[in-house]
Amino acid sequence: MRLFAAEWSRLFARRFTRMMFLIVILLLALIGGGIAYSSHVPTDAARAKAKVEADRQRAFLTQQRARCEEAVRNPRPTPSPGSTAGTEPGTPGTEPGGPPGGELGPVSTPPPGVTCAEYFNPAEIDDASFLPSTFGFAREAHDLVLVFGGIFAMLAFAVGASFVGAEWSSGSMMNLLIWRPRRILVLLTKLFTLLFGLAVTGALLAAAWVAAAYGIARYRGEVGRVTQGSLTSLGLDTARALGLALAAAAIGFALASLGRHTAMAMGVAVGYLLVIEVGLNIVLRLTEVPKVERWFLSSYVQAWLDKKAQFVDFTPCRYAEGDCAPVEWSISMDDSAVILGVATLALVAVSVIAMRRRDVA
Amino acid sequence: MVSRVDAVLEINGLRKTYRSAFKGPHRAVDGLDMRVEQGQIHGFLGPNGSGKTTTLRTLLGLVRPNSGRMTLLGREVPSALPEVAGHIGAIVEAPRFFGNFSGRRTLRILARAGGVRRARVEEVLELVGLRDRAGDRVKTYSLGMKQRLAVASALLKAPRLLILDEPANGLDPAGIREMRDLMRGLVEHGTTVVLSSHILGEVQQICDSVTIISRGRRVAHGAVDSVLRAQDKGEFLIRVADHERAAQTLRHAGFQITTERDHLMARGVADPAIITETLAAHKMWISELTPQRPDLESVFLQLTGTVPEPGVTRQVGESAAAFGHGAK
Repeated sequence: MRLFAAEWSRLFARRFTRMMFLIVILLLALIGGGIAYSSHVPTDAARAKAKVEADRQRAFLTQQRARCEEAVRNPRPTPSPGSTAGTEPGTPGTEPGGPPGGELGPVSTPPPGVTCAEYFNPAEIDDASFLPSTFGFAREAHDLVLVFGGIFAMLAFAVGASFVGAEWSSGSMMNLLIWRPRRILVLLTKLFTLLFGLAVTGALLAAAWVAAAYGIARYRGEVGRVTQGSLTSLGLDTARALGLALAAAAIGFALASLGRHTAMAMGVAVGYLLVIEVGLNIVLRLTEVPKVERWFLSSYVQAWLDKKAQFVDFTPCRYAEGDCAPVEWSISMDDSAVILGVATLALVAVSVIAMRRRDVA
Repeated sequence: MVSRVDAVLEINGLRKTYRSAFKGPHRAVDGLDMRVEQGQIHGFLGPNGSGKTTTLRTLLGLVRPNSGRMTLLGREVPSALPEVAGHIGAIVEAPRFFGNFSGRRTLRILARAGGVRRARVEEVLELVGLRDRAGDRVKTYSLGMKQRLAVASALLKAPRLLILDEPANGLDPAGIREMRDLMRGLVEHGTTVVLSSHILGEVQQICDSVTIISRGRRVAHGAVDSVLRAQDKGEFLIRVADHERAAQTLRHAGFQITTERDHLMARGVADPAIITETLAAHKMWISELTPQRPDLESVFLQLTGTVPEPGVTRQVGESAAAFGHGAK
């Protein structure tokens, strides 16, 4: 407990921690300010205009669906090159949701496995899409929580790395170990303090962020339909965003502890992004490796935040002749929890083992 | 509670080899023995790279030994280190602190981590003369001030054993004297001090006993006087009017004499009265007869094989043994 109290005061006394929090708050304020500035409370006239636009769009899609179904029922021969009236499955034509005009133009048919009703679905048209930039709390709060999660995860990584990295490089860790010669206890107390501190501050920041979003919607946009269910869902979104941030903090902490310097964690992070997320991504796509997204942590982060990440794998159709359905596949939140959890725990475990075995010189 | 023991610190056969994939193994400590009695100021001396800091780090659990047995305050370490750590204050090598914290905050955090009452922070700041600068950031401190802060951190726990590695580093002459007085005061109140320093004049003044190591091994140990006496070669400086004739006379009498520009040096003299008697018998009258007692510096250089030689630059970790001269 004494060690926890000491680490707690050390965590929040550090200038780096304070600076990072200040930067994040400023960044969130900037985003919030931008949303508030660009959002407008929809007037009755604007709503009416948006409804007219949406109705026109819905009518167009209804018409297109009928033509699509007709084309599927009575397929015409393959058009000659240069023809615009393609009716081959998946051929280009009027895309669903395309601008309605005086002429309906050539109709496209959906790709295999997709019905015309799904492809041209008027129900997907929302009046709000035609309103002049209006921030809607019920509609967009989830996305704002994701933005918060991403930003806070970066802060958490940097603070986590610096919290232990600066201790090593400044020699404070050696002083502390002379005082409390229990290496594992010292390291894990430090980690626990970091995670607890970030969880508390993150929850407060997230609450303030959601409240600010509600305030913007209330006075500069529209709140929309907020139900008990949507609030619960938003709470879970926030919890997952905080979970991601804590995992990022633990990874930054573990890497900096292994390298005994903050720069180690930062270097690994930048190296991972460049070499794996960019370089390996290009190589795997060039070599036509199927389901390439599964090799990258970013896919799992996306799935974790969005509950599910959907991907389409076109590699089976690369050399296919005739009809070919690309493989749709997804990464679930549970898959992500396992992958991100195991990666985090493995790194922390390695850093603990290294702390136990390596000399402090 | 740690029981009262005679040997506050004891090391037997300590070995530590650092292994590097690129540089190969480096034996830092090679079967070191050491013993420090309670209530003493014990000098722990050795040239750069001789294994002093590795020994201290090993004692404090920062480095894992390959073999050997160590006890602190009568308890075997590193296994019992958590139990005795509350009675040990230590600074190892250069003082290193987090630069953006003030001296006071640095000590408060350490005090909190170690369960030391907050008022003790102000006491030690006063004790090391940092009271007025305690609120300043550590990165604005001079080396001497950082050194004082390091000593303050070591004193926070009111330790029974204080291990100080180069505590006078960066201190001005007044600071060195204050540090000396501080150590004497601590010893009077029952603290045992292990002092590693290269300021040998200071060590000779303040220490009751010493351990001298070279290349990871102990080359001398014991009370300072006995270590110096053991190296006393019975040398006397002799001044007479005709020193050429005096040298010849003394050589005939069996003395080992070397002639310098304006004096003679006699070695292996058990009783200086015989020199007086021999020269007087030949009508030569001595104007000066001074015993050449070795000081700690010359003994240190001799024992560690680090006596500077013209035209030879000794590398860190090398002693005369490396050049084939052999250290004792």
